[in-house]
Amino acid sequence: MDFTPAIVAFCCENSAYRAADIAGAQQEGYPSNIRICRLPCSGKLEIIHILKAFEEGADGVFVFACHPDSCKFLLGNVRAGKRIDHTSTLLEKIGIEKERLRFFFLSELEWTAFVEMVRLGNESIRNLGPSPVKKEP
Amino acid sequence: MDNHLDSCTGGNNGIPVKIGVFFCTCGHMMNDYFDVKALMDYAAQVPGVAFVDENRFLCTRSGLEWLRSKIVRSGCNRFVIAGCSPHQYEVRFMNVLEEAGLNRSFLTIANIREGCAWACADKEGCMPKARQILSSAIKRVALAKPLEKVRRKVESSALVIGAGISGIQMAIELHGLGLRPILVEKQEKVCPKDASFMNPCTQGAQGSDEVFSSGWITQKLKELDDKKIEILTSSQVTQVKGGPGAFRVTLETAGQEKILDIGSIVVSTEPEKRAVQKMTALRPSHRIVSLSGLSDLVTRERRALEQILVTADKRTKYVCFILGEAEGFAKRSTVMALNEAIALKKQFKAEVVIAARDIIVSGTQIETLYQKARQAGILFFRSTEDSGPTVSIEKGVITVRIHDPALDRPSAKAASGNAGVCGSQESEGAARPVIIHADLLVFEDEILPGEDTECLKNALRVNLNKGGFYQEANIHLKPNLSNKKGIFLAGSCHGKEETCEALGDVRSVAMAVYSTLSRGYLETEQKVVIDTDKCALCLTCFRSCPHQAIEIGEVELGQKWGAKVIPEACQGCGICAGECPAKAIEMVHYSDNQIFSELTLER
Amino acid sequence: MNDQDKAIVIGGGIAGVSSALSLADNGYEVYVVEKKSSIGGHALSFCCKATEQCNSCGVCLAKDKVTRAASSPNIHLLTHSEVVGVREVRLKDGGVSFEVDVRKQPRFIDEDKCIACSLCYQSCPKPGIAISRPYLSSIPNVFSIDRNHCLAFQQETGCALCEDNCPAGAIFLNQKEETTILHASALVVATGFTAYDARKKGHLGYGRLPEVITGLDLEQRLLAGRASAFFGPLTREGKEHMPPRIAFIQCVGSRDPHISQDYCSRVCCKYAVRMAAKLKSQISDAEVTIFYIDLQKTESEFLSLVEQVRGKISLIKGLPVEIEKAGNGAGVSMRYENIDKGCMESADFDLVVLSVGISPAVQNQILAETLCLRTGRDGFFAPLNLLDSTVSSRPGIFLAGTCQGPKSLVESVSHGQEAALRAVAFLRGLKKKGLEEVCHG
Repeated sequence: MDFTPAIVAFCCENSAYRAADIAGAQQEGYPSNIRICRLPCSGKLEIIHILKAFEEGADGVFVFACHPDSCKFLLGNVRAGKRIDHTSTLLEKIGIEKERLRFFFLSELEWTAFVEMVRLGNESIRNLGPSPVKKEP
Repeated sequence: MDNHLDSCTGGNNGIPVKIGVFFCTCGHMMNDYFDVKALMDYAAQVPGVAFVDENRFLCTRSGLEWLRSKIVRSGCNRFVIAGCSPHQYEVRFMNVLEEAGLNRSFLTIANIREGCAWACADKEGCMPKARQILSSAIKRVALAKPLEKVRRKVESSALVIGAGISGIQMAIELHGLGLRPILVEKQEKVCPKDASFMNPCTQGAQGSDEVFSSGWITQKLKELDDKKIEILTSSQVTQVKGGPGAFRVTLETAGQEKILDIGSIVVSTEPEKRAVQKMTALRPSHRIVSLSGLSDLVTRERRALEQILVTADKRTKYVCFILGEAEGFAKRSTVMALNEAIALKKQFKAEVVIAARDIIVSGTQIETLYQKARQAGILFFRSTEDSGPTVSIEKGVITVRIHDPALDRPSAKAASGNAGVCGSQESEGAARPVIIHADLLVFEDEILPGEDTECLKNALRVNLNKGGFYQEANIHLKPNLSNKKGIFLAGSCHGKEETCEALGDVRSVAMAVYSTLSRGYLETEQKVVIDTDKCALCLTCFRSCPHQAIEIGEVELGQKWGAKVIPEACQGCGICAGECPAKAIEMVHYSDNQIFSELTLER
Repeated sequence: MNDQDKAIVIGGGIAGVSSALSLADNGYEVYVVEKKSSIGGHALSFCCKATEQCNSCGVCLAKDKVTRAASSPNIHLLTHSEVVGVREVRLKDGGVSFEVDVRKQPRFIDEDKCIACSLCYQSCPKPGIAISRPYLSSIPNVFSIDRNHCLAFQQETGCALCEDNCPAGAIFLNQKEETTILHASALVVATGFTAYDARKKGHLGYGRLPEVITGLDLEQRLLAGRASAFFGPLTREGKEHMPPRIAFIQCVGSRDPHISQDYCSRVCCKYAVRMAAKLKSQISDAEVTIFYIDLQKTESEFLSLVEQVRGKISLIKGLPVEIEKAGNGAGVSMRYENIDKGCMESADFDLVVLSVGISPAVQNQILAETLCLRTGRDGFFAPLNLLDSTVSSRPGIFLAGTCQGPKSLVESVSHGQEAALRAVAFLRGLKKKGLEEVCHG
């Protein structure tokens, strides 16, 4: 199946955004269909942002937060985790597979892990096929 | 194209948004990845874009000069720079904007180098991605609102809570830097409640016995007096309001309430000690003491000690230290035990045995101290992980059994039999413990947070860690800030064990305090704004802010109450904005609309 | 600007950077003299040691500090530079100031003009050798040319490919070594440490056996990629895909009177356990063993990490006697003393990591002579008083970080701030004295 999913990656600027930068600078290619959205902290991410991304036609949403206990703002990643759990249930209710929303922990220096996560995540979304939102007339 | 322009002209006081887009081609390198000319043409036709230009080296000195002149001449009021990652030069470019008289938030970086050119695994995906990054950056900047700067005068006073060794040193250091320290002590008198608390660490290190004894304290107390440092005794902090530079602290001083305006707060309280569980399980005896009890005996009740260790029968006396029973502060116990052991060995010619699992030497010259102890003839036995030493008392005789696997070796058996100095050897049984009939048995202390920690924590609104000690902010801001800006932690209240370490910590905190207060003012950006009309006073933000930067108070004089942000304390994480159920809180540089603008996918 | 508003920090490692930042934040003009081509020192070659959670190794703190230092307007970075002479000069107002000779080796690339586009690197016939930068976004983010390898200095014809390809015109192959004179009233020495050379411990096989690496090597490997990439397919006892067996050896070059390094390096237990946890989290079936003398259980974060790895990682009290190539050809075989069992044992491993300790920097003696400072018996700079370890034996010169003695990354940052405090107090004192003298005059 020739399908390139549209993926939005919300990245904390203290960790994953920098990791993505390093991955880029290392010329370590990752799929070009990943759209990176910079956040001051994963704790800023709201449910509406995730839903909006799906509404706009994203086939998958990845959220990258710092490792537990290393959030620059202490609890941002914990808050994000809770919201993502809640959003998953919301997504299921409206008929979007909850696997389309993924949550990862990452630190600034783990750029290799970033590339790996993005590649694997991209594959799994590709296997899921286009988002049901897009199928609506 | 959507109507992003209409929605934002309001925020720009009705002045139409004119966007300037600058491309940095990084030498000519960017042209290898995509057609920069085509991208420029694309940018030029996006509504709102009034000016497009390119430069080869925007980040160099000449490039910045070029940017400055273009910003002024183009007549635009919002700018997008398409080039490398914002982590490279965003700050530099924002400064240029500011120098040109524009707000720094009117700039968005389109990360087309690290985020696109270098990152795309597939060449053909590169151009569309660059276009997308560019178009969302343009939309985003059109929606930008200015980040207001707030400048606030700061007090030059610093409140030092707890007049222990760290507190006293802190007050003296701050005074030396021209600040005005105020020392607060719960007790009636400034006298570190236990001079020996952090005491002997450096004794051994310096090879002298009085480097860090009461002499130090007397000298420092005199210094406090000479420098006329304000000291509030019998005082406790009951409430703290405000943010860094301008705390309003309520104290209870000798039954009276007192309100002070304070620039920074330093917590330097001292922990408490408790006997370890193994010791409390035994029948109390004057021959069983804790380490701090022992140093009390040495300094204050020498006679009692002599009664134990000097008797007429001329028999060799045995002193046994058992270490490794308490969780944490192992370095402190090891150092204290080594020092006391050497002293007892020298002064009473007693046979001293130290039973420990691991000897903690990772501190200032502790290894030297350890070697000194071995040279002095102190015996060390290593208990195993699963079977620590056991203690029993029969007819007033204290018997310690230590299982040291090294002594079970066939070759070592003879040697251990020789070591009759430390008791007799049981002949039966496979695992043969070393048996010591101790005349004095010493356990380490368990170190716990001070009893008023909980109380003070609530007054200061700072966090505690799992062990109940004060929690440092986090690794990014470590080593000495609490979760609230302007409140610092110094010394043993956050786990510093040795004197050298604690005094070092005090100095690095003093530097941090000085950095906050030295300029006489603090300038911060108002990163978060609260719409008071929408605020329903539900306290969600107040509770969720990790830095306690939100206060509840009057927002309109005598009219309405609501949540307020203390800009100096705010660190700009946006958690409050994410949590607010009424959507009354907005992050200026990351508004909902701005985030949405980045989500529109182009197909 | 007055000399009393200036300070020179010798060494751009994490302690120096932290010190410089603290000074710069308070309005002092700071020169950071760094011998290498970029600042950050050892700290930036360390990997993040987070497993499922942050293990507070502090590497991100270091990154943060270095980035902040790079954008501070009050900090001037002098790379490829060394302090070669120091003189005390009397100022007109009666104060004392230092006149410092700084020798700058040519980088052959102009730091102000270079845009780090890496075109020179790509065009170089010997990329990574003749033209290199220590790591991506190093600070300053500028390449440097090594004259020992660059063809321009070796062939008569002279290669100038980089010069031709540089879009910014930043390459100057005729740059010469130059000496500049700086003035400042306070100096902070933050020259850091040298890792113990594990080759000196021949019985451990470092340099002889490819399976034996140091902790620093492992840091770099983990920084560059995942642990699973270190091991090829492991076959033993006739079975394929066997889990890797990894050993950490503690106290290599620490607590060893034979090499007169009879002190504890303070960092090895922590980094070994953190990296062991990291390896274990990346390769879940790996068999990790740590051999130690005394596990330095201090700091609450570390205690909880030890609790967390208990049962997953074996901790053996005892050190190896010798490491040799394993008889069956796979990995190495180690003979060691198991103190808890009271006997000698042996085991095979696929990777042995030597936790090398902190040794005094090799140039300490030379620098001590230049600056007229005292060094201790252990080779580190000696403070006047252990209770205030930043004050050196000469007024106006302060010590920061591991040049004074072993310290962890976070402790070095803290120590840097301490040194800054002493420097600030000293400079303020000079200024006050100067003012008083002017008034009296």
